[in-house]
Amino acid sequence: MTTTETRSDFGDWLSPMLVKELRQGMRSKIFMAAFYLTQLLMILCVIFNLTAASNSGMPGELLDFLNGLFWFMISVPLLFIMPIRGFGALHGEMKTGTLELVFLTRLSAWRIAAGKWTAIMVQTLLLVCAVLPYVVLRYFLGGVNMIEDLQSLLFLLLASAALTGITIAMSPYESKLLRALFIFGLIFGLPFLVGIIFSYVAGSARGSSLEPWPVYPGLAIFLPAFLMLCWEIAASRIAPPAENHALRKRLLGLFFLLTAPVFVLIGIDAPVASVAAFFFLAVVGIDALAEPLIPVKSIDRFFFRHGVAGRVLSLFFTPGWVSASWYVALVALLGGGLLAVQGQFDDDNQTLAYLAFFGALLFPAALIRLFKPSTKRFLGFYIGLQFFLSAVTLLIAMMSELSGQPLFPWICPIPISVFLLNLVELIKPDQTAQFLLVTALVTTTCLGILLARTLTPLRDIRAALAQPSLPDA
Amino acid sequence: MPDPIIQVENLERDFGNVKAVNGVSFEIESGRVIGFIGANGAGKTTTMRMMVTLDLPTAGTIRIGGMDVADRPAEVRKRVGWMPDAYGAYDNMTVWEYLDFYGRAFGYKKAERQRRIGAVMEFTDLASIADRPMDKLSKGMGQRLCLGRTLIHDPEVLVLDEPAAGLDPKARIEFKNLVRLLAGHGKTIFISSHILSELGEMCDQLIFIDAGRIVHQGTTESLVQSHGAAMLVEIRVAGGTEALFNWIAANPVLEITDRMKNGARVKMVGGETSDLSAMVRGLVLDGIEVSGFFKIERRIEDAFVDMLKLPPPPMP
Repeated sequence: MTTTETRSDFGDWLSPMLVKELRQGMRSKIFMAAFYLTQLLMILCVIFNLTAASNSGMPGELLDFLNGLFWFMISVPLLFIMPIRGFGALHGEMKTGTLELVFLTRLSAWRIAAGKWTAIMVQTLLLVCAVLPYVVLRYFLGGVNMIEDLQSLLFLLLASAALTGITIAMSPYESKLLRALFIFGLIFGLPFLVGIIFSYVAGSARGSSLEPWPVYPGLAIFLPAFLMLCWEIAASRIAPPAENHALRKRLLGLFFLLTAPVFVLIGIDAPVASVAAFFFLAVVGIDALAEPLIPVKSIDRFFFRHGVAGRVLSLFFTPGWVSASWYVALVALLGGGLLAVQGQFDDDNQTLAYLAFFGALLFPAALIRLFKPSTKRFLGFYIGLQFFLSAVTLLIAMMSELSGQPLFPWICPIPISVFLLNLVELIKPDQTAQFLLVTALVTTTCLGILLARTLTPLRDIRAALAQPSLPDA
Repeated sequence: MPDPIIQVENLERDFGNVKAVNGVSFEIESGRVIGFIGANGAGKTTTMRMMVTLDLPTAGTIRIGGMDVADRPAEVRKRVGWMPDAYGAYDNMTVWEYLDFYGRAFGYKKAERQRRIGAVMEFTDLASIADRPMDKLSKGMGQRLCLGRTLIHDPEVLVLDEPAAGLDPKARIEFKNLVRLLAGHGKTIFISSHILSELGEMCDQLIFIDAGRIVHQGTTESLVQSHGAAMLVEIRVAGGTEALFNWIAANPVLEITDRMKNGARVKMVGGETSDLSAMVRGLVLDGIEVSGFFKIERRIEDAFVDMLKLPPPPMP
């Protein structure tokens, strides 16, 4: 055996999943098509720019149009084509049965999900690298700020990373409706997203936008945590039941909650930081409440081995909706405490937003656990209910606006409605007290129902653990 | 007696209200080849998936090498190899790359990985098609590749689910030879198949499962002998078979086990060899044109049919 043979190759330093995905992905028709299309469009853009540069009489609007066209050509593959590929990443392998063969190796579900994301991002990075020469060329043709261009490219790449994370997280779900909604949202949201990025970059260059120093640390902390959450959500849906992914997902939820005050300290507005933290908490909460309850003795034993503290932690961090209900109660308490410390409860609307947020999170879950406790399509029902209630809110708001009648009190027992109406400031100050009272009552009732539903499964789990089992060899 | 490498005890698996596996228990010694037989939906694949940690039992335990599959799945996975009935091909990937991926996934570095891939390719005769795309493989090649993937981490226990399903006769013989070679290397092989005669030849022991319960466990010989001391004969007739079927139906000690185009396989319950001549005489006297009459050895399929008390198959 020669020395070379015993040495590891470069691929050994990378995740096996990444090596496999790159081998497959770089040969895939979508990547090749996206690559060639981007090159072709870039060449066209440069030709237009060259023409514009040689023609001094070219109007400013046309130059702006060419500039917009250039970024549109880059944004489509980065923010649409490549992230959309994430949808097929896990679902395809689940359908063909290849994924479970991978589970029998040393690769964990988390490494599989992360590997899939990394592979798509490496290919996206390749597309960006292929675009760089054109960015430089535009600079030499004049009329552009290369630092601004590179900054825009970086933000587009980060947005692509987040969007790919979302599609990877959604990948194990079979729901075509969920995917259609995401694609629909992406098509309509893309111009806004690109607009936000460019107005921020242009604004920060002229000193009229947010200071870069809170934005960059914010992204450096929130984006990796968000991506980890996306991988965990994907991993928890594909992993064998004996793996506990609830622990990491819920710890990430607590991380989002507890970092919000840190962002306030570094200069981000308290409501902005709270909204960001509660948005991520909503994702963690819905995902946790949708988890099926599959008691796995090895997971419970892991907690129970650590005495009373372990038993208490098992109430919040074992997989399944039962512990998820207690976890949501815990974060509601912690979140409330943090907001109280920040003095945000001095404002009734902030208090209403807090109560309505948790009420909205728990209301459909409580209804499902009450009337359809054994459903396997929890998430479908949950999203369906939220959409239905949001549509009702919209309808009532429109009717109220047209008729001039105060119809809002009729919907105050629906927390999502209260949350949305409060968000768009449609609740009149004289109605706030009434809304506060009813929302507090509904939220507490929902939490009470959910926690009451957990008592029987908790007793069963404890009884199962109390049964003697043979020691392993 | 050596310690069993596979211990299954009171295994149960429910899917909603359906009990797919219901109180299954068995033990298997190391180095044995075990056939796992049952009709579609009998609970074979569910049991096997639980054995390889891909599913969790509702109740009961499975131990591989003394380790509980539910409590220590990672350790169990090092010791078992799982080959499902259908291997999923990856797009844009060659045979070598497929094995290389699994070598990496099992954590083998370059030299060790190459050694293992080489050994597996040689064993499964895949070297000549190493650069062929996976989606261009025949079913037989695909099954060999799938077996190669199963062997890459050299597991002690191989769990093979219908490995010969859909293979042509040549590929089936090749596959049977590979299983024999593996058994020669001391692997414990747990194999399910619909081709019962092949299992009979390959396996030291057979386990029959029906409706989630074990209905028989033993050697091929014990199985063939234990289920009814009935004699089997094959009767061929010239002309139509209708008269023959009616004649058999009218005879309470006879039962059709297999209807053929020109005759039938018939089971004679509680009969002696001397009764056979009386049977031929009876057929001829009743005007049935007998063109052939053979006493046949009981096959494993016949024992299977007896055991499950299946109705005779319809006429071809």
